[in-house]
Amino acid sequence: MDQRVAGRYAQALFNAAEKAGAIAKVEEDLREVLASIDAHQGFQAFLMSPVSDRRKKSELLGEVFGASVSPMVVQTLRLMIDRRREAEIRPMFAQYQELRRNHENVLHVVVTSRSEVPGDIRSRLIDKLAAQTGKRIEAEYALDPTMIGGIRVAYDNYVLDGTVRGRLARLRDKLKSELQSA
Amino acid sequence: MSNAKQSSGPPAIVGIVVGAVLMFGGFWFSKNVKLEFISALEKQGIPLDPGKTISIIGVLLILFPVIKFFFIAPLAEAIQNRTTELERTFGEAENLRAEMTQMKQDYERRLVQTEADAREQIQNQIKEAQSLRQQMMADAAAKAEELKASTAREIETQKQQAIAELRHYVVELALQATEKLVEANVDDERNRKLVADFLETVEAPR
Repeated sequence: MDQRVAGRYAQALFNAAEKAGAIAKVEEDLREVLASIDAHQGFQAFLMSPVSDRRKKSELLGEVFGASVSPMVVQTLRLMIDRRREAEIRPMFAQYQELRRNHENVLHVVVTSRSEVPGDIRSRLIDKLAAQTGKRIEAEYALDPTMIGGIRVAYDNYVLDGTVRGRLARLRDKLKSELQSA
Repeated sequence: MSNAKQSSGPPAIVGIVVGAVLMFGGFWFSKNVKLEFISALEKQGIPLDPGKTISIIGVLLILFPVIKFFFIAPLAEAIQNRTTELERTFGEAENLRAEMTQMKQDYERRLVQTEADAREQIQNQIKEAQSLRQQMMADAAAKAEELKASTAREIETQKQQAIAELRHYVVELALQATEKLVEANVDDERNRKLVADFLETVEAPR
């Protein structure tokens, strides 16, 4: 999907939020809106359907979120609906988060493990990553039942593979390389 | 030749004139002169007439040039021509014989030369064939050696490849077995230790 359209809306919203000093609030509101949309299948279907009336979508959005989220978020979403950019709402949120992280010098990492990572391990991991990257770490934890053990940390274009399967793969590559050079 | 013989003798006209005189004189003598001893001979039974004899001699003297002119001369000329022709023919035959002799000698010389050339050529061909045979044998031997070496290299390559594939297969099997073994034996404590070890060694790029 082309990220440029979502990026333009995100950039506009981020600029407005920054000016209002509500960067975090806007992100929280967007997260709440998307959670509500995801939680109600009928609402989501109505909102994302291209045959639904745009005016009704806009009115419903105002009625549902007008009181709970900031006006600039509601206005942005209504503008996107008016311009038939409903499908860009979620990418716009991701772009907004990226803008906010860049603004706050935050590194978003995804930590994948077979089971929940204990609290002390999380703290040590975040501290180490923060020390080595010089950024504040914002970790997202994911579970992968197919993993044997260990963890995998991914951010930007990097993957720090500390899984058992990854170690075995490296061992396999090393052994094959030594066999070929022998 | 015949002209030279004719010119060397007395002229024919002299013989004819003398013959005519003798012929007519003898005839006249036979008719008009009666000698005593001739009469005596006739009485004894021997008829001798000198006039007729002289006349016959005259006739012979006349006939001799005529015969000579009309028969002997053409015959001599024909004989001479025949002789000339024979001489020429013999000369030509002699020339031909000499030429044939020369040709025979040339032929024999050329035959000898040809035989020598043929022998030399055969010898050269034999030498060339022997050389070619040796060259072909050397080439065949070299190719056989090259093929042998190539086959040996190919066998060695295949062998090394098979060994490498076998090693890779063994490694793959060993790692698969290890993975299953580890998977069966990783509990929370071991997993925690794995993560802790990872945290000790991890280096995060900026």
